[in-house]
Amino acid sequence: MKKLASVVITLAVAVMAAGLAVAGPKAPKALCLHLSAPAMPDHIILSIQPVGGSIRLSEGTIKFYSIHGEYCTDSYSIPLTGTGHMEGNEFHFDLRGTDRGAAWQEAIFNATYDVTTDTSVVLHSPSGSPTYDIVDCDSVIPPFK
Amino acid sequence: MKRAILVALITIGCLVWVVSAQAQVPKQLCLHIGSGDLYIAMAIKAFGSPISFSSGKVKFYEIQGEGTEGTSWALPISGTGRLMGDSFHFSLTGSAVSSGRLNSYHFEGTWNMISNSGTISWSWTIPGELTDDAVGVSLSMSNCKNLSLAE
Repeated sequence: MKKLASVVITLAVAVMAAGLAVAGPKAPKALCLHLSAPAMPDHIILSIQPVGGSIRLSEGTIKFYSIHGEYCTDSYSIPLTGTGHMEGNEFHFDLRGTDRGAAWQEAIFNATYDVTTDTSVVLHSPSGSPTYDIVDCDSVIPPFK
Repeated sequence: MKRAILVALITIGCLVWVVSAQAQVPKQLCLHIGSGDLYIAMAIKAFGSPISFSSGKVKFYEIQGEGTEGTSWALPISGTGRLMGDSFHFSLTGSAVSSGRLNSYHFEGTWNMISNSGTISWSWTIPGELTDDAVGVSLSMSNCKNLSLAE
């Protein structure tokens, strides 16, 4: 009886350890970015949710996320939707949005960053690749329109 | 004693309800654009937890829906929205095939959850060419049960 209990406990520990190993770093549930130019009001606010389970590929496990958010400046706000995935420590995402302010504006961003070490993100867009600092959402006042 | 406890509990309950009462985004929202036959029907689902800022909380929503103009075309749309205070700001995109061509549509609008009023801008493009657009068109609430979608 004791032997059976020890086998069960050993198996449970092994399963938990394997689960933790597969889980790895996760994408953040919220990501607040501020353009790396303190005088500029540009913020990107993102809410991030996992979609489905993890997919095992030859090079490792990949997990997909759905993203909703907003890009806001002092003159307009562009609602954003997108997708992202975690592979290892890196979160790779794509965002798009359209807004009619003074004219129709389209935002397209693509970025990859290491969720365990990076404090800033380079957002590649058709008009350039600005750097955004990752900031504490509680401490910012995004200029939502 | 029992009555005093009951009164206290009811008072606390009312206070909690009043404090937590704020504008809510409906699960279905059908809006009439302008005064013509253009409508959008939206199924709206909360997305994630609200994000707290020093200026307040913002909650994001995912939107799936359909645009309709009578029953002449079917326009599946999807997008995102966010609620801050009473204002729901949303953006939708979709496409429809007409005369063998793919037409793309963008909608961007705001809807006040308390006054049930808002405005919307929309654009209609065929690949590489802006065909038509409208800016700041008024929105009004529509009864979803009265809408017909194209097949």
